[in-house]
Amino acid sequence: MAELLFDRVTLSYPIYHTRSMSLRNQFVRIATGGIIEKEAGHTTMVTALNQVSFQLKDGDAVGLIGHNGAGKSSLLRTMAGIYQPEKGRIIRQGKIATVFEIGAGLEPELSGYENIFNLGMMLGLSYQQTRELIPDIETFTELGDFLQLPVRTYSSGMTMRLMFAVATAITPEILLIDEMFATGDASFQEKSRLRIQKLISAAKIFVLASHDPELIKKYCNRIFHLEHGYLTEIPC
Amino acid sequence: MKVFVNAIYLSWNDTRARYKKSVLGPLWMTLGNLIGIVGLGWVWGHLLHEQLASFIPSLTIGMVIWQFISGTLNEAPTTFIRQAIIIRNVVMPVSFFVIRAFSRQLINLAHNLLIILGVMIYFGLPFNANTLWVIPGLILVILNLFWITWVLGFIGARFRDIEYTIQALLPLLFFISPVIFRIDRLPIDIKIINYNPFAHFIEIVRQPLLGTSVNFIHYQWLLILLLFGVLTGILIQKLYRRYLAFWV
Repeated sequence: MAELLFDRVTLSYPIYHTRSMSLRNQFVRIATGGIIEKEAGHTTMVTALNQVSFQLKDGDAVGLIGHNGAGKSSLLRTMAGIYQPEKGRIIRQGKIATVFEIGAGLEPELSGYENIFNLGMMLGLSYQQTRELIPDIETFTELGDFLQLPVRTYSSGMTMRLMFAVATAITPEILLIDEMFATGDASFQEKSRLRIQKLISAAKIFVLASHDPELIKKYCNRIFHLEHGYLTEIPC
Repeated sequence: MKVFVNAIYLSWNDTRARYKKSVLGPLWMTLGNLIGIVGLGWVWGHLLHEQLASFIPSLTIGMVIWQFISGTLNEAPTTFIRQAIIIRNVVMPVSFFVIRAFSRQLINLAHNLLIILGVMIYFGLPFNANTLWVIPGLILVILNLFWITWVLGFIGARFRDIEYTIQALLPLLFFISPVIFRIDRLPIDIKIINYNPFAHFIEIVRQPLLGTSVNFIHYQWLLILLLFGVLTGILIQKLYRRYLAFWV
């Protein structure tokens, strides 16, 4: 059983300016007793999520919408456990897979096959477990002999196929995806839709952040709207 | 345990990727160092009027351990920065990133140990019970450099100047480390060398391999340093783990 519960979660994080990243300024700050403290120690705190509460259960497919910078990626990363909020409670049950940035964790010089191991092991699988996924990934990606070529020769669409295939092949209980289908062609979009539907029908949680209303309509059965860190659920 | 195995496998993959299109692959490191040591040994040996048969083994061990130390110090501040994209994309314990970065140094060391072995055989150094002391010594060196990677990784992720500071200080550190010279052979007593922890890193490995009697002061130094490092590491982990994804 998969579950994801947020109870009044507030996430704010520091943005360091070049000056405050430098050690010299930290020393100067101590030495000058705070005269230029404001300048040297200046860090901006950004509140990315404000009192966010929701509950996701098996079979929920959530579309996450909002402006650029509304907090969609921050919310996804908090869901995954990459960002830890200082306030609020999170209950997370189930194996998580993420597809956030294209190319994350890939080694451009190594072949597609070798990168399957890179990705699989980074998702917490052993070597043997990853190897068992290969036939499934081969059929899904349809990359054929390209899997033997270095990943640096791939187009972004091909890279996306590979990453998506690995992330879904491990049959996660919670799948989090950030704006990915923009690079896929029509046949890939159709295949991934089927794959996600299978995942949801197997009673799992799926969250997709996207700017494309058509896409959200196609995949999702709940819609969350984020604005300035506030989350509201809008009827589908 | 799985984290450990995966990190080492991925690190080996990194090394393979780096040498993908070369014939000798990682052995280039060994070859390059071998050429360097033979050349330096010959020149310095004559300049310092040393017996080559004792000077070259001593220099070889010193250089190999020094490269292990300087390689680690050089790359430690960027441990997390280099893996930023992974930190921002998947949930992994911090140890995974540290092990992955540090195993790269270990792989380099393993290649360079071949040179030490070759030199020891060539110059007919004795293998006896004393030689075995190199094992705890080497383990202590590895554990200490491991926590240094961990701690410097955190500091380097927060303060980007650390990387350049260390790069600027390394040549100085080289001169007060007994790489070329031996502490007991110095014409004058330079106290500061005894307070350079990395001098003990080198001597702890060198003494048993050269067959000289083992000085336990080095073991004390490294044990105390290890205790200090583990405590610092735990403290930093407790206080700043949460911020790592924001820093990188």
